Order: sequence, then C-alpha cells, then structure tokens
Amino acid sequence: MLKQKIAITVAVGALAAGVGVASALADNSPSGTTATTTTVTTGDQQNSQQGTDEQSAANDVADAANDVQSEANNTGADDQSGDQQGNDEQGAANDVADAANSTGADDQSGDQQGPNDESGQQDDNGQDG
Amino acid sequence: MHRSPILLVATAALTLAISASAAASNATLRTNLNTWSKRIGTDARAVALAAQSRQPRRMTSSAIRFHTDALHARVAVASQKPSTAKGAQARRLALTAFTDYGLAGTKWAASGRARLAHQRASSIADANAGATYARTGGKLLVAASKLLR
Repeated sequence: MLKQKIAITVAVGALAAGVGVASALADNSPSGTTATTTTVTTGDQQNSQQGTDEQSAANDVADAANDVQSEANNTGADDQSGDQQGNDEQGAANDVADAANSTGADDQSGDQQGPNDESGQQDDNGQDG
Repeated sequence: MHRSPILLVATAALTLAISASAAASNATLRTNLNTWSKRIGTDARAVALAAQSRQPRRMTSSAIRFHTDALHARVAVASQKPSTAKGAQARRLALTAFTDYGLAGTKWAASGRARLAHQRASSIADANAGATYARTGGKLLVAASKLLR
C-alpha cells in the first residue's frame, strides 16, 4: 500500500515537473520584448500580430527604397541647412563626417562632402556579409 | 509491480517537455524576428524621412544605422535554434532577408554619399540597387514570418 502511494506520488510529481518545464520553456522570451509579452493575448493573436509587424517592416523598407530613389532622381537642390549629421551615428557615419570635414572646396554653401567619400563607401561595403 | 504507470507518466511528461521545448524554440525565433523587424522598420522610416526632406547626409547616416541593425538582426537570428523543419526554413529565409537589408542599407548610404558628391548617375544606380535588395528582403521576411505562424 505504501509502495503504491509512493509510486503515485512520484508519477504525479514527474507529470507536474514536465508541465512546469513545458510552461517555463513556452513562456521564455528575450528581455527586450516587454511590450509584446506583457499584453495578455492568445497564441493566435500573437502570431497574427507578429505577422503584421513583419509586413509592416517590409512596407516601411519598401517605402524607404522608393524615397531614396526619388531623392537620387531629384534634380533639385538638397536641403543644405537642415542636413546635419546626428550625434549617435555609427563609426562608419563618423568616417563620412570626417571625410566631409577634411576636404570640401568644391561644394555649395556649407556642403563640405568631398571626394574621400569613395573610400568610405568601400569600407562600408566591406562590412557586408 | 508499480513501475508501468510510473514509466508511462514519466514518458508522457518527457514527451510534453520535449514538444514544448520545440515550440519554445520557434516561439523565441518568432519573438526575435518580431523585435528586429520593428527596429528595422523604425530605421527605414528614418531613412525615408531624410530622403523626403532631401537631406542626403542625414539619409546616409540613417542608412548606415539601418545597415548596422540589419546585421545585428542577422546575428540574433543566426543564434536561434529552431527545432522544426518549418522553423529552420524560416530561419534561413530571415537570415537572407536581413543580409539583403544590410546590402540595401549599404547601397542607400552609397547613394547618399554620391548625392553629396554630386555624382547623380552613381546615386541613382545605388538607389536602384538598394531598392532591389530592400524588396527582395521584404518578401523573404514576410515569408519567414508566415512559416512561424
């Protein structure tokens, strides 16, 4: 009788442990996703929202591509006064700024970007992979 | 004598844990993809805004940030271990998508620099190349997310 009780207890314990592990693993998510995980939603809702986010990102990128093409094709003058380098750029961006500051006799009204751009461009391409 | 029920329950528990682990791996990949997609989308909007404002220098720096985040996203997705065939396929698609996005960022930055250097033909060529990478990457990213639903 005692053995039977022990057996049942062990079996229930094993099942509970399995469920616990399963729950812990299923709920595991990176710390950077607080906004999505704090909202109480079903799995289907989360999946649907997630698909929307990817589609939204793809749309944003496609829109950016169109805008960059428009800017490249634009024959008009750029906004010189408002086009300033941000403070939080990456190292490659700083290279662009350094190149711009180091040369620049041939540009218009404060636009000091120079021929050293090409080297910066090559460096940037080298990061791809 | 009482080993059979114990074995049965233990096996059931183990099976449950393993299947949950597989689902968790895909769920983690899905969450990762979701997080980085949002960031990439934010970066892309910054590029678009700079381009619309006709500020090539700002566009260049935003494009570089886009490129950098795309590569970070690629690293984050590469570290995931999907446990199903669909998850593995989604991971492959996402890796290619973020690689394409990285290349798009590079081309956009090159386009901005060419614009600043008054090299219009080069700027247009880089913008077109960037758009091709961007659209291909977008299709792959959406396909990857569909596999994880």
